Amino acid sequence: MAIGTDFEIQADKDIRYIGAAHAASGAGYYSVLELHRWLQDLADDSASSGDDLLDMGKDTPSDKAFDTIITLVNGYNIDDTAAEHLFGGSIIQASGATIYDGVQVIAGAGAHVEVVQNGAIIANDFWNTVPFGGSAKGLNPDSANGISHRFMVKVRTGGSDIDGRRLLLQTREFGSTYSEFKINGTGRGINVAALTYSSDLNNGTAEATVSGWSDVNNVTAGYNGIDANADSTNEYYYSKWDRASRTINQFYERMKWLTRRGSASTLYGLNGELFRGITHEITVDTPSATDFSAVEAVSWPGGTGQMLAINDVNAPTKMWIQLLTGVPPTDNQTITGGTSGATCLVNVTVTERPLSFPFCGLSTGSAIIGAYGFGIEAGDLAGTDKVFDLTNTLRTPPTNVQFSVNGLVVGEDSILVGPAQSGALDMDQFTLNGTLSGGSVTAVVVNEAIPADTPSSGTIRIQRANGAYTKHAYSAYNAGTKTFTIGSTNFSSNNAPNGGGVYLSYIDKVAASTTESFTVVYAADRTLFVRVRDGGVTPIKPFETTATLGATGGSVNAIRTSDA
Amino acid sequence: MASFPTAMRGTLGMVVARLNTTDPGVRAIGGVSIGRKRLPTEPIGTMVLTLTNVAVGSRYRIERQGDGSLATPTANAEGVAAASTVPITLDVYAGGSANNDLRVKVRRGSSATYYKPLETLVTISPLSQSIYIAQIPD
Repeated sequence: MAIGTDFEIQADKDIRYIGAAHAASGAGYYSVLELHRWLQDLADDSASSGDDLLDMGKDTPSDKAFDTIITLVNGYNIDDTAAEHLFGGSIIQASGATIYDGVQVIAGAGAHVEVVQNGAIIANDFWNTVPFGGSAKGLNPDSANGISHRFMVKVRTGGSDIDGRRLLLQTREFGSTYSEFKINGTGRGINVAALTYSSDLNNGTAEATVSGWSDVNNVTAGYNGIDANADSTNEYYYSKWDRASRTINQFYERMKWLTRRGSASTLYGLNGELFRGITHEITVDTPSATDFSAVEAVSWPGGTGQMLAINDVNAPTKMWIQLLTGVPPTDNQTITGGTSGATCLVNVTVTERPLSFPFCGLSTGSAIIGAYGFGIEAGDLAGTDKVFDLTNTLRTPPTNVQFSVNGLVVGEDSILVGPAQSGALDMDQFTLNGTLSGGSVTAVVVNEAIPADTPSSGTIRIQRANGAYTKHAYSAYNAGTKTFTIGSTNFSSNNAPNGGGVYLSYIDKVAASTTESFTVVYAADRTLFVRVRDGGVTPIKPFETTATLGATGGSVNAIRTSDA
Repeated sequence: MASFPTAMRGTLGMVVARLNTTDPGVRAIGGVSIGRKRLPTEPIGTMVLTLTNVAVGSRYRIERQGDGSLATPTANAEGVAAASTVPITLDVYAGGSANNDLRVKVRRGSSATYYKPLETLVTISPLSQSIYIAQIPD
């Protein structure tokens, strides 16, 4: 369809689109240069004709600075509808008071591109139309050059730039990779945005299925400590997610679902579709008497944001935000909490932080590489996972491995799993450093180093003077002092002699389940001795074996040979 | 014998030169001139406005600045340049008439080579005038 058929020029210099609607047969799309050429073609006619009131007697309609920058002059103008049918550059009109800038998206064919402007998603996303006769979303594609969309966005109106002409383009199609591209102030002509849009092999679960995984939730929104790397010292994050019964990849899929296109979920006060994670870390001082909320909207002269964490609501020195509009605050600007009304000042340093897409980080399928500041409960992490705390320091969780004994009879079987040596139970894994003879002993000191793969709490067996090894629960141990902390125990009779044997009994109980297990931090392969005895109603011959606790854990099935 | 500009004739009591017989307002009768008063909207004669350096194929239009109407005679005031020099004969009016204040438009936007629209203003007088048209490729 010729441009002259799809557009008309009215007597009042309004240039209007009169062609078919998007996706309909005959819908026309033209470059800004084509518009200019058409106008100039009409302008040198001796007389106007039809619905295009432009000829030599009329004012000059347009000026071309470059092929991609067209200025409508002398009152000629387009409206938003006409702009939807133009691409490949900018249209400037009303003496510069109104500007439509060109956007060109480099992405896989069919990408659904969202444009965030002034803190909100532009609802009229005409550029995602499937052209008539086409099969993929995207107006004015140029697949030979990897271009999926070309269109214009109004960035200035009434003589004022819309949020500094900033645009954020993003793809958030569930099942595909997420990406975003920030145009920090469009320029005249074509603004290129590169996005990734391809199948996410770690996001293969049906959307309807993932929508039901509501047991995954953020236990703590805001600044909180997690000892992700199990070094007995908390690191700090802006979230503490519980993946509940889900695998780490299912957790990843849930995070994508929460922030997908069309999400109705709310994260930190923002619609999931707009949630990006921390964009800036701000050093602050001079707090007001009023406390900040743990999470709230914030503003400052020249911008707004959503505070995702603050290290102290009463006396903060650090604040982490997602920038929503404008520019980040600068030194000594006042930041005001939108809910609390609390204030503080920027103390020199504002650090831009890296974003991940999706906001939680990346999944390898079996592990997560967490985004900056994104926290997950320590117990939900494995040694293959990696997280980054709010100092952007990589924290590697320990490799927790599980050893299981299966095939047990509840209430009858007694299980003992301990260290093995030469195929037998290693009863002197440790030796006592000093006799235990007090009436209320709580510390058991041994001579040997306590291995790194010792459970943080559990049970030990201690050799007593009569030769028996008694079971004692310990609540903690100190590897430095080689000391186990046990509940107060009276050793005044039948004491435990100096040099007596002590060993860890990893499982030491009557079966309460058909499978009993323990979890430790993997350090190196360990050979275990397993013993299952049942002298009850259905007695079995004692089952004894050794097994290896390796990097992926281990298990043993009890062989039940009747001893009836 | 050279003719006097017609605008001067009304101020002379005697014609000493051959009168411009194209001026309907003046007749020579026995060495005595007879003048006729004209309205400001009536031309007092013609002049030649020459456009030079015009891109061949460009359309030109000479219009009045006041209302944008074509200069007169209208048949001359608009056309397509067949050569780079375009002489245009136009009516000229008494000095001070707004009808002498013209806008010259030259455009070529229909086929390559395209040129940016050019507009310039001119006030014509009974003397021939020339305008250099410096078109810029678009």
